[in-house]
Amino acid sequence: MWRMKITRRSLAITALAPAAAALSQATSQAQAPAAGEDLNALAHSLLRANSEILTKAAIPIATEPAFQFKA
Amino acid sequence: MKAAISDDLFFATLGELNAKLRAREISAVELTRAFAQRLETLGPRYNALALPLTKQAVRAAQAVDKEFKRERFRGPLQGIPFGAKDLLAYRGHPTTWGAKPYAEQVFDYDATALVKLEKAGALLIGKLSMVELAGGGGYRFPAASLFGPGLNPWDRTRWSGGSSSGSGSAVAAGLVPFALGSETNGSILSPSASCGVTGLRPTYGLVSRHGAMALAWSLDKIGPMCRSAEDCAFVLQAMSGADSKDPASAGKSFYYTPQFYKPVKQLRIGYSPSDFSEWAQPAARPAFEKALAVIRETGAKLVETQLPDFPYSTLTGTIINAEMASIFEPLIASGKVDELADKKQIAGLKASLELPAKDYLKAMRLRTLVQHAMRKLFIDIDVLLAPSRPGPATKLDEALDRNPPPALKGLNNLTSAGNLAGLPALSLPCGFADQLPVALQVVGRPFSENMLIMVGKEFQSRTDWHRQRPPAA
Repeated sequence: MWRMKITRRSLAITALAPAAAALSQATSQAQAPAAGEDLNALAHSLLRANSEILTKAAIPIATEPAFQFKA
Repeated sequence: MKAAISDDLFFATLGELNAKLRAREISAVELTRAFAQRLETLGPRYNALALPLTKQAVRAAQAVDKEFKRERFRGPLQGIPFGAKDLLAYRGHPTTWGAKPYAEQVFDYDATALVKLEKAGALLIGKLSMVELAGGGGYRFPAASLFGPGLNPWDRTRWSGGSSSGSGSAVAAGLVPFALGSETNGSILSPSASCGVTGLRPTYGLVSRHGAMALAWSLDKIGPMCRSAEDCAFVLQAMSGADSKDPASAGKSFYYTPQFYKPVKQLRIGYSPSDFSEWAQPAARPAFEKALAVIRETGAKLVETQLPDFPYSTLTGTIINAEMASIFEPLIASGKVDELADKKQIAGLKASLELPAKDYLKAMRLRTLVQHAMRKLFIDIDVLLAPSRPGPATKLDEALDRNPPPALKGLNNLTSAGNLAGLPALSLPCGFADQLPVALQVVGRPFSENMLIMVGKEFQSRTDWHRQRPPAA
């Protein structure tokens, strides 16, 4: 008689597959950008907004950047 | 000598596990097999497992058992299995950085943190999933990962947090006794808080980053995610220290020596009431208020304070963008960046190439001022206390960039401020909101990890939030 070997792992995978598929579908749907949304434009506008905030920040002329080079 | 593997073992602290190993109630091989099997079986349930490493771990465990037999004790990590975020190089095996373009990447060396843990006798049983490229570029959805969204063991419709998603889920679900995560701007604290585990972000430079994916050289840190504050101390002690392979190494080691520090009741703890009453989400406020009451009971003096006024998120955003653009320029230029899962992240990475040098330099100069201001703040205060996150884990389909940050005074920008200044932080589970964990963060001066762990240990001796287990685990 033909006998199939069932492991605990294969059982777990079978049991969890429908839930995983549903979650995967939900998340892939969620990933789509909203209609008409230009993500590249959004990314550039974020850079510009940060740049404007930095331009406005007052800073003493003697302040050096916070990184070190050790020779 | 043989003990049945009970569920309690999967949620035991490192001290408890080590005591059983030393008493030879269980062998390192038995413990390793038990955790490895659990990680392989339940890891996929939470999208937490990137790569099982059972065979190698069992071989190493056999050697550890020989040491136990000869009563050669190396310390609290000897014979303890663990997992590591898949951004740490492990010789001869794929290190994917959670991203499809790097799915086949194999290094011929090991990350220093892994080498040090191996020397302490710890046994790597698996690589754990993460947000692709540790989130560089700015992702919109939890599904931004080669492994799918990190699912929270407390509720699989919620995110486990990022970018150390698998590390958070695996510790919370009892799949590993501890895990390594990494943080550039919140990637240890956020998943630790969302999953209800104790996470430690070390001082910048205390743990070598050699062999870890670089997202932003001047901000990246490697740290432990564990079941308790004391467990974090044991792991940090084993993995800290000078490393000539890491140009940012501080050349210092961490020794867990709480006896040399003033007791918690003598500490001055800075906090802002508005963080707990306004910034925190309404559902989480009762838990935070109770946690604050526990801190008061320790006898520590709570002092109202707030962060110095800086555009913290602009600074971290600009610095990460600039350093990341340089690091991932080949990926972006090759077009392979389009293979990433999150569209917003792809756009963010591409745009980062156009960030002006003057903005990066300005941000780094302002960072100098942030460091000075934080140093000043810590003259009168020993540690700062604030919620790790304003509320519990977010829903899987919730856009992470949906809510603009609230314009509040207080310490609600503490995660960015702490990362900019290279300060250590400890995230402590402190209760529940909507049946999901919430957490406090304690932040201290550079290299004050002992003090943070003392506060954490005192808090955890008075509460049992860190001992709670997810229902399905």
